[in-house]
Amino acid sequence: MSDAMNQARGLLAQALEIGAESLTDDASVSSTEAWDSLAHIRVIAAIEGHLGSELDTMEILEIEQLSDIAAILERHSAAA
Amino acid sequence: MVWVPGQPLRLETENYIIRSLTPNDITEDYVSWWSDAEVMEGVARPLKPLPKQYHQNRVAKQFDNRKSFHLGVYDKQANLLVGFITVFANPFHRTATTNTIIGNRAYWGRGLVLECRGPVFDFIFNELRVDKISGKPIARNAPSVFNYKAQGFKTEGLLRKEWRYEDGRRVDVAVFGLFKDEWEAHKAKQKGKS
Repeated sequence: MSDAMNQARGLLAQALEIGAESLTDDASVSSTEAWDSLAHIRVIAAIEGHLGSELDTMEILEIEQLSDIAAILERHSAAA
Repeated sequence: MVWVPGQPLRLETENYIIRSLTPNDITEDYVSWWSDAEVMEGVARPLKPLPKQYHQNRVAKQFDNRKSFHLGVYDKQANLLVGFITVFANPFHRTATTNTIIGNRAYWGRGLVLECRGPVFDFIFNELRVDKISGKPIARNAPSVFNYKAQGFKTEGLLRKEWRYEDGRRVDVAVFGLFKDEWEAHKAKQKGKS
């Protein structure tokens, strides 16, 4: 599993206030009970806090599943 | 369900009643939501307080229960109006737009939008015979964006700095779309998980 995927899982678990082990690779907004509308605010804040910068609006619209978060982290890491 | 065009619509979920609002249903809470910056955050509209009579007239004149619907969301147990869902359909293009406002903060983050919009979407697709539903939330309004995504909508675009707040700030607006087959596929997928 990639570092980005591990980091994404950690961030998502923290934002959803659940254990990272309970998040499957295909965890998504429509399949994860703890991922609700208010938790989505925390998910975006967790990613922005980790990156130290605001996400681009298009990136916010991208976030639908765990792998989307990993892709954003990977892109920002490559750009750094 | 039985619905006669032009007559009030009534839908029911496990926890809520969703029904066409009439002028007599307009409460002081409803009036206050329209001038509450936090409640209206997602729609960027003027927040000037307007009298109850204004809203009663608007509800009477703007919605015909044929192509336009202003549906109150009532907590079944408390018999309390907590928000509303507005639907505008275009019969020629067979499209519809929706907008949802949950005015009562106690109901935020409780899955109300997902629970209540489901039967409304079924009504739009099956009774109004619409092919596509669209929504345009402010792109950085995370709860709104979440609700569209969680119901299977596809992101169709971003309108840069499309709307402005009263203080002059301009904000990006997202465009989401959902076709009937996508909605049916989404429901089947959700059913498979439960």
